[in-house]
Amino acid sequence: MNYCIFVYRSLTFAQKGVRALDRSGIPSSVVRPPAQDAKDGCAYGVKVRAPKCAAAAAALNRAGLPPQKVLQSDW
Amino acid sequence: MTYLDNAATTLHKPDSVAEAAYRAIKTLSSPGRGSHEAAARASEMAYACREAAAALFRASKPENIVFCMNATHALNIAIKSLARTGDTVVVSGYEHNAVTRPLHAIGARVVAARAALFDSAGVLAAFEAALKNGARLAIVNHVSNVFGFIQPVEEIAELCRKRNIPLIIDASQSAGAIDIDSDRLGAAFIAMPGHKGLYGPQGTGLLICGGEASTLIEGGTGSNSKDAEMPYFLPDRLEAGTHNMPGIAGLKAGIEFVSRIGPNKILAHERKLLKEALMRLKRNGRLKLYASDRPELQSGVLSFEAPGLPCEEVASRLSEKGIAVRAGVHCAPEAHRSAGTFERGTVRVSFSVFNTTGDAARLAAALETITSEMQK
Repeated sequence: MNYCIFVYRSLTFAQKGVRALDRSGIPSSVVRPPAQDAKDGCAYGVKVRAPKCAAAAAALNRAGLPPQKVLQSDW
Repeated sequence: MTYLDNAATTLHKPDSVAEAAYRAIKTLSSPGRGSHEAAARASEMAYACREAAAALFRASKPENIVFCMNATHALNIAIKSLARTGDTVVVSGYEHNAVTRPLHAIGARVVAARAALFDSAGVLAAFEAALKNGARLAIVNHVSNVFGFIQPVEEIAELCRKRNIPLIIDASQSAGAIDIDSDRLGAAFIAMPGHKGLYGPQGTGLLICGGEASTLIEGGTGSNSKDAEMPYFLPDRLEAGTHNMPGIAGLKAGIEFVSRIGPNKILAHERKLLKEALMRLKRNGRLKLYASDRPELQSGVLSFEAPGLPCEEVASRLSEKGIAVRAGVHCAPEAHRSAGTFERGTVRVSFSVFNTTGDAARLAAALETITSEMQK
């Protein structure tokens, strides 16, 4: 696994997540997770490099942005 | 042209607004519609605009900033989220048709908390009395679009909070010109246009949501796409369809412009112009001026009449002299009922940050000529 993707229903919440991670010094970007991983279709993900996944999860929770799910990804 | 119709639309915008709108047309597609670069840029622009608005209006959640077409659109969402047929809705005596017409369409029982012009204590007392009688909702126009009367919105918000009555604030004339702390006010909704005191393009508006909202229209949001229901979360719930990205980009630039100067400085500038205009117009002696003797109760908006000459004719003659003002009822019959100008309407002058004392002087000189000609 090279990346983890924190999945949100809303683009705005994913963007909010990127800002929260940025404040914690963790680089991330908004991506579209595969449709089969988004229960209701058209979800948004915050993509983080694997070594930072645990720190990112903690930062997102601290910011009040718990993801719907966390995916592991090689690309 | 000397443009003094800023309460309708600020015609003169910062260059950054037009430049941002132009760049958006050239480079942005639509937020949440695709993962390509143009969509990503649009997503970033939309979110950055929400953040800029949230910072200016001290809203802790950028996702609660919803893009609308204008304040009327925003007010329709707010009112139709909270009011039902037969509900008692308390409104101020200075509301715009953007409030009263949706309430009429719903069939709400409207109670006007009416008080005389610039009688702030009277407004508050009227609200306090009206809210005791089974009100389900309160709506207040922060600043009258006709008279510039600044209503005691913080005190009204406090009354509503104590009684657990949701409050909608129409910030059409105050957004950008008066400091608004949305988290502290605790209103259910605050509605505002983008094209007035925020110096954004026409066709933009914002709704700051403090509570749950019902959809006015349904459609694609780029989220939860397999679900037939609109998403329950903001802003997606209220933003069906493709966004007005040139408008949003321009609005962001406008908000940044206002934030750099600060609403308090803008208000001070507009009040300085109001004072200059009043000083000159009082010398005329043939005008009826609707001004408060307490400057803190009035924004940069002034209504007046020239007895003996219809308001529309005054505006027309001013236009011939290169001065743009607005005459009539200004879509706010309730404000005229409260002020006693319902039959005749008024001529309205409204300043922006781009006006100068020279504009006030030109207005006074033109009115001197017009009223002198009347007497011949």
